[in-house]
Amino acid sequence: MVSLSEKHISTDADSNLEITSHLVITPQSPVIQIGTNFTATCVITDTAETTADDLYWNLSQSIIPKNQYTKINESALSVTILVNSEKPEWLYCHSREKSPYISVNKGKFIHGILLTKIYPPDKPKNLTCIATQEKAFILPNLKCFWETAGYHTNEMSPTTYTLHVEVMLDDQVYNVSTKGNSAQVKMAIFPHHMILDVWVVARNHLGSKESEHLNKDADWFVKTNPPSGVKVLSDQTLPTSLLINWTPPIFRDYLILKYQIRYCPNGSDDWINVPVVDIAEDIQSFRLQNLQPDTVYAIQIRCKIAKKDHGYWSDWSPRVTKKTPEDRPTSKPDLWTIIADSEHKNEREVTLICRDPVFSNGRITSFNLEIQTQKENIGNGSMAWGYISVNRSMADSSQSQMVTILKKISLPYQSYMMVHVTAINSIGTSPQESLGIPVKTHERNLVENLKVWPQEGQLFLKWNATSNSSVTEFIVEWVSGIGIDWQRENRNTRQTALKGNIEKFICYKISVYPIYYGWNGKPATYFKWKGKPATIEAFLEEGAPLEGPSVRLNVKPGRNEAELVWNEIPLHKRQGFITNYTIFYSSSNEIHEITVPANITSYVLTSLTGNTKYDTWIRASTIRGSTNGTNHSFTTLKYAPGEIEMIVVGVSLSFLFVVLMTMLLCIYKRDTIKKNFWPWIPNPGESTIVNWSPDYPLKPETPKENCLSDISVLDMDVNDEKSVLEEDKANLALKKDKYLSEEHSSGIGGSSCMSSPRQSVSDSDEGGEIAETTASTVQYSSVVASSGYKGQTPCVPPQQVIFSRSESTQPLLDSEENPDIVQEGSRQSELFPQVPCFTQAAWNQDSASSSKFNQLEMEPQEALLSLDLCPLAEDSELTTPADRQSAPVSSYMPQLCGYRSQ
Amino acid sequence: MADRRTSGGSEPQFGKMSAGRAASIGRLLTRECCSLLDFYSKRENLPADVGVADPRLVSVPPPSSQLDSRDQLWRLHVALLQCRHLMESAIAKEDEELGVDAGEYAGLRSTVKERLKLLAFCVSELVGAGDGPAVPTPAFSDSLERADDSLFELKLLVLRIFKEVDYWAKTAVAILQTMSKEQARNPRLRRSIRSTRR
Repeated sequence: MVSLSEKHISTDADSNLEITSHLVITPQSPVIQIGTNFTATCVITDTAETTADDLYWNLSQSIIPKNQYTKINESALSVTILVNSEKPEWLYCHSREKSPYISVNKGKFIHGILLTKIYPPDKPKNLTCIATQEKAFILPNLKCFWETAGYHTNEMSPTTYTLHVEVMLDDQVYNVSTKGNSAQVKMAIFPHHMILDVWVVARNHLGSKESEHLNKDADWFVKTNPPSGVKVLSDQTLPTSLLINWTPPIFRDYLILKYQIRYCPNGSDDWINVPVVDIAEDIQSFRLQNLQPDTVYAIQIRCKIAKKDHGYWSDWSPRVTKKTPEDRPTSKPDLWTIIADSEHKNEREVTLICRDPVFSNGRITSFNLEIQTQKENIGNGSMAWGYISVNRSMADSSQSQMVTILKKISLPYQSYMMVHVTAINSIGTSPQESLGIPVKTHERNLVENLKVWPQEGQLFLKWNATSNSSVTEFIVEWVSGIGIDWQRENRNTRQTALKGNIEKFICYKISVYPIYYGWNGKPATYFKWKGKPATIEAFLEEGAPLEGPSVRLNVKPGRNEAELVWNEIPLHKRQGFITNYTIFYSSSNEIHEITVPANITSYVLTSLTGNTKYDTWIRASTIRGSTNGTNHSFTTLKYAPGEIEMIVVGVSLSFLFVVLMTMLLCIYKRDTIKKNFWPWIPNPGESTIVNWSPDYPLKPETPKENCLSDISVLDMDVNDEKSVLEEDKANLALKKDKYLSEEHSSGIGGSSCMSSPRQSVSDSDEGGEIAETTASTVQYSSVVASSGYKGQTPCVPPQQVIFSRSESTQPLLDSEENPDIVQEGSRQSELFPQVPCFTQAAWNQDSASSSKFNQLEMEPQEALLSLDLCPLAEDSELTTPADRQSAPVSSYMPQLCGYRSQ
Repeated sequence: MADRRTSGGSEPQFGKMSAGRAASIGRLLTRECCSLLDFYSKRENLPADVGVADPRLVSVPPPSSQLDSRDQLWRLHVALLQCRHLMESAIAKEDEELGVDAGEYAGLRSTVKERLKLLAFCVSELVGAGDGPAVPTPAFSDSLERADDSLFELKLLVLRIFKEVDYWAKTAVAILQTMSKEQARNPRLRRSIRSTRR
């Protein structure tokens, strides 16, 4: 090392004296083993500017403590450090700047080395080698693998592995180097029967390590090809045996092989290995025995060097399949029954079904069925066996697990049935299976407390048996929408798992039937009977229903209620037990929900709002989730059913009532109505006015006499309305005439304010009644107020016209007697405004009561009437003549034709 | 080599060499010689009985029923060494005259040569030949030299050599199997053979 340093120094000095360092570290570029101490020495050369005391060491930019220094002499200082990391580091030797020269020439007073740190090579472990076959020979290539510690990946000092293979007695050694952990050596030939020595050497800068030697027979490393030409032969006389022939992969001169044979029913991966001890070495054929007849087997062979622990097992040969010959069925057919209630009363519908025997040993072509049934009407037990042959098609027999329906029989409740079945294939007949269906009431209940639970993807069930003495076996039956399946369990079994293809989200109805021997029927028969089952429903795994119930209205919605009905979700779409239904119904933004039990399929929504559109849907829930059904919309009625009818009927009845009342009123008041609408007008021709004389005593004056105007005597035919109307048309002209005539009549009534208030004009009836009394005399007159005589000034304003009842003794009209009538009259007066302040005096000659009407009693009414009518008269007086012209004519018309001579 | 073997920690396997193992190698050589002869005869279109009457190429003492196992093994050893030499010479001559062949024939030829070499080593180990007298060189050099004149003669000579190897391979199997049986009956026989030679 020192020489290297010297060389280094001299080389630098030769090349460039200016950059030559006065410090040199030895050793240069060291490769250090991790975990060891490393010592470096810094030597001062060609200068007296510094001494060893002025030197110090720096590692990774940190000064190494002085206790790690060793002063060798005045010009050399060493340092010892522990290498404990894999990271390469620079180690520097520095000199303190104790003189200006050193300060100026810093580069000459520093030197460094790179510390490369590696691990020593690790010993390769677990060396294994293999030589494979190609064509008829073992390739002369030996491929070896070993394990390493992984340190060889150090880039600064990688580890190289050399594989050595030496053929003993031969001087030739084959080797190959690699940086990995596998290598392959190619020899001249593969040295069968020779000894090989194989080892691996790992080497890096720190040295080398050698693996364990594999000092083995060369054949110890051989892996041959699998046997070729594997053929399997069957023999019809040996239905349980197959003969296997093959060709060794290599000549026996090279290697003597032993074999391993495995087989399984085709399609299965449960291989059965023939024990190695049963297979001799160096053979080329083997006979498999105890196989199942009529079964396709897959067979494979592999080989290995026969020497103990030599070589590797070859790969398995390709699968070769062969079917064993048929044999007669060696097990019973799997007979079972499905019993359902018949359409006929007190009868059962029994379906006999059957699966092929487990060891059918060939294609089952038919079943022989023997049935013995007891008819109800046969009490003596004289029953005969019926023989039925059920042929199977090729399609049916292709699947041995398929259920064959043998026969359907109607069996009365009080009858029993016994069945024997045998299965037949092309070789022979199976053992016989028997089963009896007992009288329904005699079915023994031997199973109880059936429980089912899912576990690890299977449905387990557990039950108790009430009596174990007579039970021969249990049949576990499960029925789904897909179909029916069953399995047989030993009489001592109390817990089992369903062995069929149990699917998730499918509801299975699981039943456990006891099969027992006993007496049954009449006459009592000892037979193997089917007992009464314990049944339960279960899911392997539940999920949310695939669809929700479809809701609809049962009937049209009412005003406040609607009845919803929905169907149960089909079984195959439930995916679980329905725990409840939730009814949703919404109007506008408000959603209501009601939860009902799972057994409810209809519900009446109440408290609905009339004439409102509702959306409704049903959500079905299981323990695993919920699914909403389809939406249904409906609108509630505006009126409740019958409400309209009630209204119509009410209105109709009311109308009818009104009509009836009107009719009754008309009937009972026909006289009044007649008087109102068709008043009786006295015949002027019969008037007693002709007997009237001025001497006729007048009634005492009344307070309103001063307002009376002229009195005109109407002289017309009351029936001559036409003439009245015609005259009314000339009302205006008549008014003028009236004014003119008032001058002539003033002497009659003295109605002028200037005249005597006692003046009146009346039409009195002729006869003695008139003469009896003034009070009882009824006068018919019209009192017309006028503004006064022509050329005279009235005592009251001329516009004010006051009508006053005359003092006639003529009886009043009903309208005057009765306020209603008065109102009617007032309405009449309104209808005839052209007759201002017209005071009418009705007179009914037909009414005896009217004749008795007392004039004194009438006076207050007259006063009231007068008071009431005067304002009207004022108003009427203010109306224009034109208005008066358009008014209809009243029956009480003023006298137009003048007066009779007085 | 001895150090290396020791360092490996495994017991050296020389002691396992037996007449039976050598006989197995002899059987391989027999099969491979047969394959080579078949292949060569078909390729060169030579009759199967050609050269049957020719004298043997390997010169060893004639077989005798009076020879003991040791002498038979020594005779076999000498014969195999000559066969090996013949084989190597024939291959070299063929490659020289016909060019190097890398096909199936060359593979078979090489296999026979290497197997013969291994058999010779085994027999040598059995007889402890390392300490024995020098093996005489087979007297066929003249024949090979003459073969230069005719390619056909070379083919015939190569065929003779293959047949000679086949013959001695079969002879070796016979001798070694007999010896193997004797060793099985008397395990000390092998040690006595080697000790006698020394």
